[in-house]
Amino acid sequence: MANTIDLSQFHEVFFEESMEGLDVMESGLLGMDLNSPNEETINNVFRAAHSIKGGAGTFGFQEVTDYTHVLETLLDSLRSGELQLSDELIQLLLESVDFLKHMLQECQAGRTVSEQEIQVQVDRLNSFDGNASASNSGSPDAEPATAQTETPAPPTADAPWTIDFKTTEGFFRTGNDPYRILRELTELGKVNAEVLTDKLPVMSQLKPEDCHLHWKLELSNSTADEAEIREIFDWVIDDAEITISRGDEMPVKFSTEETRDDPPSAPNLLGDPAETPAARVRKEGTYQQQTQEVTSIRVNIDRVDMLVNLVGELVITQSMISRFKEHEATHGLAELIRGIEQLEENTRELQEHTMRIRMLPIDNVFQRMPRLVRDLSKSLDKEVNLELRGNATEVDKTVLEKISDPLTHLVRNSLDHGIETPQERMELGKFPEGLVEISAFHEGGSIVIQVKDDGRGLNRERIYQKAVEKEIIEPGTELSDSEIEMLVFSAGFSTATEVSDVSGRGVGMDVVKNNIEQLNGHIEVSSEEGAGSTFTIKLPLTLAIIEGQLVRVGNDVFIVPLLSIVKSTQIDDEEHKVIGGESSMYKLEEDYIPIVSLKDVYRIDADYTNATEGILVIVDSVERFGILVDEVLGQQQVVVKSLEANFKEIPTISGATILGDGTVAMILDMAGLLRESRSESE
Amino acid sequence: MESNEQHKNHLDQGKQYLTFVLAGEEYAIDILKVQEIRGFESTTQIPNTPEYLLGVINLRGSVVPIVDMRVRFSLSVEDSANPVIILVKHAASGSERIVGIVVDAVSDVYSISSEDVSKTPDLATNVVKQFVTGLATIEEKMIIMLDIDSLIGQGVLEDGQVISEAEEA
Amino acid sequence: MNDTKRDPILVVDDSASIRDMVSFTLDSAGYEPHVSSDGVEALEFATENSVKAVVTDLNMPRMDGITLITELRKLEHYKYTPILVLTTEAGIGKKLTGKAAGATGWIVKPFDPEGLLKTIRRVL
Repeated sequence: MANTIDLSQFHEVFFEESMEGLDVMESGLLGMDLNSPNEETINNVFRAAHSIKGGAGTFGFQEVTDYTHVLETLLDSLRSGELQLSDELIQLLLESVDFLKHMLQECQAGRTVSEQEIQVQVDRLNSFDGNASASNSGSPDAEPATAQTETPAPPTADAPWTIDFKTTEGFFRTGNDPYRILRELTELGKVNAEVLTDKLPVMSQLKPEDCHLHWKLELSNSTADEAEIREIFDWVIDDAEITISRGDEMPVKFSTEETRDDPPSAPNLLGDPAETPAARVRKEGTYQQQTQEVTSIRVNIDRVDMLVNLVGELVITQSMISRFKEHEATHGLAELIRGIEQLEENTRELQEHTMRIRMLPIDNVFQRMPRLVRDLSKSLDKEVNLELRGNATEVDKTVLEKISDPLTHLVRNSLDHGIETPQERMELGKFPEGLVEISAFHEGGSIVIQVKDDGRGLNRERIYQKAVEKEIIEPGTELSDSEIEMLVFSAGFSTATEVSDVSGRGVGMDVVKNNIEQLNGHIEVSSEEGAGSTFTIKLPLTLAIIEGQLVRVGNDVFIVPLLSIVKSTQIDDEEHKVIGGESSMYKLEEDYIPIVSLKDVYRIDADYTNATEGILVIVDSVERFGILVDEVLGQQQVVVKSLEANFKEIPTISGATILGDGTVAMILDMAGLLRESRSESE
Repeated sequence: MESNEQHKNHLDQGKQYLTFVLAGEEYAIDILKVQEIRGFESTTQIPNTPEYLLGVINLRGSVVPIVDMRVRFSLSVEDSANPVIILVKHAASGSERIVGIVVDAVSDVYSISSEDVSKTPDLATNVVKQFVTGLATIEEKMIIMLDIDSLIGQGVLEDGQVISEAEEA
Repeated sequence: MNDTKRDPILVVDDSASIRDMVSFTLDSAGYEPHVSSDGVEALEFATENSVKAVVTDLNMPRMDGITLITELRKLEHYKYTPILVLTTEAGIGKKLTGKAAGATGWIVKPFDPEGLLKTIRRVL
């Protein structure tokens, strides 16, 4: 039964929606116009806080309720106009959103935040603007001291209670029913009821929806005190005249008059205090324009993944069948071929739509950016405008989760190293405010994310010098402009003369590049000195399925992610150079890139014995390098299967897939392969 | 309670074991760990893994590693005419994995009780010894009792780290 | 409870956790909960269906609880249906606003499953 319900089963949903609520609060606060704050936005922020408070109370996170309550009080005085919106207030509210997030995360992890820590935060909120009414009423919904004090002590114990209960006409209109009230009263003791029909109009004037009954009730054999009896009538005090008395004491008239102690300025959760329900009804047209919200359902990600996997299987089956299209036996079977082609089409569409289930708008990550830019520009004393474009662009959930850190780092980098101080900018004839533009869009089968700033751009000379100092390149190496720019992604590279705490944290651009490559993606930078830089990230739409290039080495087939391939080529003698008898290099344009021979790294048989007999697949990863194979086969979409599911991680392999003929092929991990090849040759 | 007791008695009377043949010796593994038996099929190599790891196969859409038991136990590598893959279940920190072992042939199913097992397996090679729990004599045959869990756990998956990572997901 | 005839109850709250909790509680006590996440959705449902009682939150996007109650009372088949308001406000002001719009009574947050059912039984 109900009393055995375990509330903890709802905790996960509560945390999830609270986090969403905090996001709403944050973006609402960030988007607030100080001069003419949008009422609707303030309401949204308030409502989010209010929901968190309500949920936290119900699910037993009392300290969250208490803290949110203080925050809500502050928000309420903001809403009622008692408090003026200021930059300072926004900052405080943003910080309290952070603290609330922290509290919730601790709760979620089964830990608690110390009372002192909470008190410090509560004090900060309370001490904000002493002349605000935040403290006068204590709280917007503290239980007002009701007429309890007037309750006389029961003079004659066990004496029966006398209750005069006279309904008004509108009694039924709130869905109340005198019968139910009497029923409840009988639970307190023995009830004698006398019904008076003196108010009943004559039949011709009787309206069935009106209530005209009047009861004289006597409650005996009851241990109930007056409060308990009152509670039963609590809902109908406005729809009836009720007096309760015991023995021969003076009857106490029970009505709302004595408890209605809300001051007119009391916070009104619903907007204008003067607004009557009738007035609201007239406003009903206003909500309709907002009814176009996307309706969504929450689905466990495991179920989605299962579906994605099944569709993946279907793709494999379909490609198995498709191979028969070219088969001699099916020649002339036009209908079968049409069927196969239709299956191909259907499978492709089904796959596309299934993958879309996992897709979320990139806005989920973008909405964190305004806060980041705001905080950073404050601490760096810079003025920066942020523009976000393509917020609705959809990406796979996993990509979305993993892109947040690299993107954050790029934005930090732009603000720290790219954008100049207002002073510098003025001297350069630029606007004092810098501009950072983050945009997302789809291009082919990929998603492109760009971080663009109008700052000082990359200083190629300094980068080159630094790279030499850090022994990333040999002094005198000839590099093109774009190659120099790509050096910022090399491990151990950092142009900042000192590691600031903004883009510092021991994380360099090489980590950004690594993160993106783990997602089978790709990053590049272009820059114009004095005019700014643009970082462009290219990512696959999904991680579950990749566009793969099949390559053959001897009897083995491997898959190279298509996104990382620059080109495939045959090697001429003059383009090929062997260094130290062991590792060979390939001359790509002006540069020598390492050749990774799969035959040697994997110690497998291959047709080629020397580099000029094979095909070189040039890829762009941590750096450009070539993979030497026997043959480049077809390209196809492959469903990525984890090796860890039944086995373990293998350094140079990012996963496996099942080919059209049912055999398994390994998907190569570019960065891992290069690392492995280097350690082999040492 | 009572049925539990009965169950235990039943177990003592003999747990079921599947036996297989490998280079002339007969080995036994807990039949409850066996998922299925398949004919041998060619595998796809996993680069840079120990030699006894033959590769992986496609088991109805999932990728399953296959261990060559002859190589694992450093036995003579004469090809068996009809090698067989036994797919065994390995439960580690809550997640179940499937790993295949290649043996010369599947032999029989026996009930072996703990009394039938003696603990002096001195004849086997060192690699084998660490996975042997004892010797049983059934129908005048000597059967080597294998701890398949540690064979898969320590011998194939090796480090527990990967396992706990998969757990987190 | 008789499984063949369960009393339908409409639960309206924008918070998924509260909604889940209320509907789970009602379901395990033998009622038949229907859920909506805001007033607009609830009104749509109510226009097409009859229920034995409505439990609604006040503070919701798109259409708040007070407007919902006012609108529900305009529907012929909801004229006398008990409508309970979920409110964090213990103060009388909110309760009265609810009452004025036509609410039957209220359930004060935070509440536990037991308290919820006790209140529901008051109106059924």
